[in-house]
Amino acid sequence: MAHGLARAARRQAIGAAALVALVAMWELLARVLAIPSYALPRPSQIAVILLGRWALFAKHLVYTTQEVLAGFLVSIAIGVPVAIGIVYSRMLESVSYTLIVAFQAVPKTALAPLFVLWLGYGLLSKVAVAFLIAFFPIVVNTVIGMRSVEPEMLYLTRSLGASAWQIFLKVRLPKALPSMFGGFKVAMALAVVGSVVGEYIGANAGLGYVQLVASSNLDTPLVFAVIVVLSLLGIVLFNLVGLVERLVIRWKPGEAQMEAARDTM
Amino acid sequence: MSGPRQLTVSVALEDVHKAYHGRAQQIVALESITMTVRSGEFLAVVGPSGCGKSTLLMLIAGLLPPTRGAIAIDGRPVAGPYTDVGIVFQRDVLFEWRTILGNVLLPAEIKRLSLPASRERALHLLDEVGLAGFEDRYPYELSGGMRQRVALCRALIHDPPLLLMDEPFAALDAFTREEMGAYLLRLWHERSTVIFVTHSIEEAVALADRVVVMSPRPGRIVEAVDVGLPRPRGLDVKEDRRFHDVVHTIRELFKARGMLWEKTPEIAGRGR
Repeated sequence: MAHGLARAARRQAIGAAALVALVAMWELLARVLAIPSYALPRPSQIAVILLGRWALFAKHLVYTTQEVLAGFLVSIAIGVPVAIGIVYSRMLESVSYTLIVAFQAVPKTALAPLFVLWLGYGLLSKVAVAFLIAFFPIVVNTVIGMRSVEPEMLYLTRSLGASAWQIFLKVRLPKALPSMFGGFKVAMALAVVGSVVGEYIGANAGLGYVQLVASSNLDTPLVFAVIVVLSLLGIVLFNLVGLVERLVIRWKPGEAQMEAARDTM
Repeated sequence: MSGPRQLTVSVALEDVHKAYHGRAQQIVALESITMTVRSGEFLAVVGPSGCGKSTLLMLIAGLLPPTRGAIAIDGRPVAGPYTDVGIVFQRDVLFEWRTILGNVLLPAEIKRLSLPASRERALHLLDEVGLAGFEDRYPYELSGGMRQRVALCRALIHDPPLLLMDEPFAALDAFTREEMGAYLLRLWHERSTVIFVTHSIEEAVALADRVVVMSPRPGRIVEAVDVGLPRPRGLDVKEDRRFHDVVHTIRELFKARGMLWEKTPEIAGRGR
């Protein structure tokens, strides 16, 4: 296990080194080829902006994070009960699952202008777009997870006289959790996309708004700086879900053990 | 380990039929099954794949209704799940999110039995099958044989008067399988009525008091063979002459119906 941990750490170190090398090459090429900063700013220029205007980023980062988290949480609060309804009610299944699958085909970002139209330039329209885009993976993964229960598990619990509530709580829900968290991770990443797209359509705050303004001013270094901040936001939020997942799901071999197992193969 | 209540029950099936609706036509899984399992008896059911052995257990457990006929446990007709039962399946079906102890305690939780007492019994059972010290582990940390031993403990935690076993050791390797038989006999202590479904004639004879031989679909009872080997039995029962006699008798029953051959000439001919 210790060996696996060391190996995981080594793998991460290699990844980090590759990233550093890539950035260094970018810096070097931009300088050697004298690429103008409005076309492709150097990493050092982006870094200067990130550090120099941190207060600006902090303010809009908070705003965007609020939208993302609100959209994400609402999509769980609505998506999970809808999924449970689909699993338990044949009626609901035939009606809503078909609708949901059909709706999956609609590009959700194309609906963003409508939400801005209906809900205004404020927070609410972005939360709505983030929710709409994050909702589907949560419903689909929760349904798949709850349906993955082996029939013997149901026979066993029913043979002991378990109530429907007991079967839900002791079988379906825990069985579904790994799949649900898979959905949550995708949903979180999509909620970031939804929020930013909402901000592009119409907003007076948020990282997408900052980027749109910077772009119209041909302030390319600022555009890149926002990309960096958004990427970091995505990584942090994604790992936050991963952290909660590891706290909740303790019955699976950890990554370190998986690494160790890979070693032996 | 003495329970305060009645330990075993009798099971009676009267002209039981079970048919499923297939894609094109009805599939008859069981046909006209009439048999009685005596209270405290260890009954094995042997038959080829698809003879409805598993369906038979589901019917007795009340998890499926028969198409026709009646099933009674201790004289009371079965309608809906009979909850005083322990079931072991071919797959261990451990709940991967529960610890070993948590898995064994599942029936006690669902039936709302006293948890301290159940806990004590669970630890005792785990100790009996050589899993002391594993109670806080998760199923993924255990081997197949260990997991099936946990499933056995889970089936016995509430001291059920009836134990239904559906090819419980079929997924295990031959060595582990022998070992599991010994564990089962040790835990059983003639404390419950057992119906044990298997496709291994040797396993059936080594464990059971009586072996019911079934025909392929539609499943019918061909014959019931008394084993008559003394108890308590250990693994050495397989060295007993009488063991081989009974196995031979059952083999002949299958052969007479064209289900088993001494050799399979067409395959032997194709070999080198």
